Amino acid sequence: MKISRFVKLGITTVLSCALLTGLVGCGNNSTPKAESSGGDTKEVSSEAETKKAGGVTIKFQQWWGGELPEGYLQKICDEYEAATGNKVELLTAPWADTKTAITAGATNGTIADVLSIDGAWLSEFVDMGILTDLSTVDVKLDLASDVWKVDNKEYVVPILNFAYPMYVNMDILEKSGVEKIPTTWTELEQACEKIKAAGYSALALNLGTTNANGIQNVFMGTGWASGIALKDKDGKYLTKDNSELASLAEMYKKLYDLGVLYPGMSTLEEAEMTSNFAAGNCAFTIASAATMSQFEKLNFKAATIPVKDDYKEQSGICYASWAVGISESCENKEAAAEFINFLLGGKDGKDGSASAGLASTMSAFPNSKVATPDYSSAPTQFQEYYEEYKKNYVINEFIGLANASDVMTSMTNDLVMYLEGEMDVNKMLENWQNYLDNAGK
Amino acid sequence: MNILAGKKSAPYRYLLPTITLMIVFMVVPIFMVVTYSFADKAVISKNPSFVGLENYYKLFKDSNYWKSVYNTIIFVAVSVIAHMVIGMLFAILLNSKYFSVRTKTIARVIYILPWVFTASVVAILWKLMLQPSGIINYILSLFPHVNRDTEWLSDRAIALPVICFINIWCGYTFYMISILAGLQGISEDLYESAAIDGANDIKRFFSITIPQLKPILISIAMLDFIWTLQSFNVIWMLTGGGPVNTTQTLSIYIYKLAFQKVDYSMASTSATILLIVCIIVAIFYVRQQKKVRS
Amino acid sequence: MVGSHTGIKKIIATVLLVIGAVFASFPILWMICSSLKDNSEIFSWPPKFIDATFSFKSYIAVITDSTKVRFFVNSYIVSICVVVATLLIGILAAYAFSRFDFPGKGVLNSIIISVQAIPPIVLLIPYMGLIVTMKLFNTYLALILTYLIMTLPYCILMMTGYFNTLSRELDEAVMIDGGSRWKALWYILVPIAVPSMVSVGMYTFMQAWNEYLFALALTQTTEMRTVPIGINLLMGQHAYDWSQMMAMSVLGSIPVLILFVFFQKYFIAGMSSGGVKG
Repeated sequence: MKISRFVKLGITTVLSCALLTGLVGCGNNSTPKAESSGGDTKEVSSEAETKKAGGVTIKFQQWWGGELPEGYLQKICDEYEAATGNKVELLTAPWADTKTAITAGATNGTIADVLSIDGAWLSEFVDMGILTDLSTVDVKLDLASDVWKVDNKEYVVPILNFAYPMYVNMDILEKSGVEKIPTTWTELEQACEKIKAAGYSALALNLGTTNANGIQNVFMGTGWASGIALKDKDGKYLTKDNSELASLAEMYKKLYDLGVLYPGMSTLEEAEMTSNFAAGNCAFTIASAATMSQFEKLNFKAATIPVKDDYKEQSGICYASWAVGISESCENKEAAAEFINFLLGGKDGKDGSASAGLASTMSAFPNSKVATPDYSSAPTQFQEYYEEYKKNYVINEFIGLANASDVMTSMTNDLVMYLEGEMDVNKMLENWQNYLDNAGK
Repeated sequence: MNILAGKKSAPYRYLLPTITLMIVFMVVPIFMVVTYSFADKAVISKNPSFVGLENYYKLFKDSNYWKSVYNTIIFVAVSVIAHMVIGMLFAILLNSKYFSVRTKTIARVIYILPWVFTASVVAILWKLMLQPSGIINYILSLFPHVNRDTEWLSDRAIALPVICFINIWCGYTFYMISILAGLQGISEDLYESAAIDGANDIKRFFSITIPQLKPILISIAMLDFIWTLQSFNVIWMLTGGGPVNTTQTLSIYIYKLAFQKVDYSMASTSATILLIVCIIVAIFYVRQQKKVRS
Repeated sequence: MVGSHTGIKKIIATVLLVIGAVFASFPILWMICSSLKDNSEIFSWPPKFIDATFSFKSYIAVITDSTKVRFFVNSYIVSICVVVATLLIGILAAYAFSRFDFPGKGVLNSIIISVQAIPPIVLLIPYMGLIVTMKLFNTYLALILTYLIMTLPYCILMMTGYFNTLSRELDEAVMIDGGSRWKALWYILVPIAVPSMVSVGMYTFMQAWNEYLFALALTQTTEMRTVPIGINLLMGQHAYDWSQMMAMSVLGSIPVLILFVFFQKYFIAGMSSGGVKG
């Protein structure tokens, strides 16, 4: 009984709402809906915002806000406002869809002023003319150790770099009788076999294609550690008949054939891989330093990736970045440049505290030359790894590659075929050469 | 037939809001998509050049496209048929005389569950359950002689069937509810007279239930066909089209073209082909509807 | 003989009912369990339904976060407006399709069905251009209009079917009494059609609630974002917050479930006739 009365009441309410809306809409049938729910409209017109007393407002499109502790990024923006009088409005989108949001915004004139860019998107955005050449505005590029270029024009400057160490679950190592963290490929293979014999999964290789970055972070990450590269000395992609790359692929093939790779690799995504490591499901994983705080319950170490047996030189460390550029249609490029300068070197170009603070919060390395992050509160594993990091160098050959996500997906698919024994290594490397050569054409 | 229809414009007045909205917000953008398909570098470049049917030739030459078409046909056919069979089975169960009203009420709420949760989370949930150390493999490992190492999503041989299964789970409720409702509309007399004629359950199902439900079944199957053709979220979140493109349907193929390759011309081309297919289906549907009425 | 025969059938039916219930509810059960675990426990082996980290902290984290609450509020505003608008406009159109024969009817019908065919990802860019030109970017109205257009075809199809099952004598009686068609529709047909409006309304609500891509592109500021965006914000660059994602999904579903429990009698009956009989 009660229910039916509730239902009646509900229906009456809904109906009267409907009729009311209908009546309002009645007067102007030709433009239905334009007025009827007008009460909810909240227009964000640029005029209203930019004309604030003294300063301007710049919009900052990024995904960092979701990763940092709540309010952290806002605090930096507030400091910037206090120092310069300009406001920063944070536009946060999920990382995986920031590219979609920027592309859609660029084609329709709703793009933000300062954009956070992933290395895999760089080339498309330059092609579409979305990004400003930073040397034409007043960005103090000399504050940055690294600037991303396309055709020798400087478009994007990283703020933070995330290194990709190899995480090691020390408990699994101990239970499997592996005494030390492997440092060469042979040691890695032997360790993996022992770990497998003890009933654990050894190494995770994420070759999922929702976001195909395992080929970069794990596979090439391993290669770069041993100085194996996709490009030749002249900076041209050379994978065909590249015997070094072939040896890297063969090493992974061996691991695959030994059955020591974490199962389900061809749909494994980075986030699942790290969560699996955090749950103690595998012994080694190569993942971003930013994820280190997830592992606090584990007895783990962060190490450099094992190198080819006779390799004695410096290791290349794969990295991802939080990097920023200025949109071409930005109306306040000076303010935008000033904001980037503030992120790099404070108001006076000497204060690296914003950059340093971000770095220590995210277990990352600042790209700013004046930042001296205080890692004393960071995990000890990170502090140890920092020493290793300083001895080596960072590298990522996919940054700036045209259609990088598409090329990486194709490369990943071939790698899966090769590992599963349905393609031979030369054919794979030849295909890779084609993808890389034809990228963006 | 329209006793008081003095003005011929009457139906159009009722349709005015719909027509206006459809033209402004659907027909115009769709028209633009179709024009993109005849251009090179649409959207990206300020002055895209007209290339005629070249994009279509290029698309038809792409073996990946045909593979996606093949995957889509399997995905859609399996999903639509299984949705219907399972939806029908569940509807008949929920309509059966064997259970009390209370049982049926509770069962209805349970059976509707797959439908009320956010689609992207549902996809992630299945991925969690099907991952190597997930609950499904754990439950299997409790049975003797069952392999707990099945890689549900990353085994190329079974990835597409698994994706179909998950899509079936996501979509059967729509059929179930519609059919359940349709069953309520079938007169008991029909069944009783059939029972007197000595027809058994199965015979009655095929001679009464199915013909009575036919109009409903055709409508929902058509809607489901179009929706499944579009189905993106579940596949993208679960496999991203992998392993090695084995679960790449047209919607994934188009997404990759548009947002990985940033090639809107080609994405629009394959979308236009989808549009043509759906227009054909719609025409058949409208014809069939007319036949039913007359 | 006959008795035992029915007995066997009842057993079979019961077994099937239980299997079906497990099939439908097990993943949801797992979702709820996951939302009550610690994020790091979600992947642990062997998986447990409830473990030592059991707590409601994911839910508390969502409820006490004012941004996330705002996502829910936005989603409700948008979804409810969409339901009302879709029903209103859909009923008008359905009435025309059901009660009149007019030139262009078949063509219009085909158009309404086939506009659903274009993948949203392709439509996004030209559609967004339209919204920006109309100065609707980053407003509720942009989302409401979008979802209205997405759900309208379904609504029209279903409501046409429903009106077709209602006798024309109903409206004719009103018109003989001197009433208008308009009156016949709103005072006679619509009250009878409430059950099917409920069913169409709930479906529309779920569509609007779930939509992600257009919500992402057509809104920009945090105050305008909806729940699906909030959920995807938990999918970070390197790591996901699995438990909170599950918690947000569960929280979002509760109102819909409550509605279904209250409306289910109508829901079932509604679809029946709404099930498009020609």
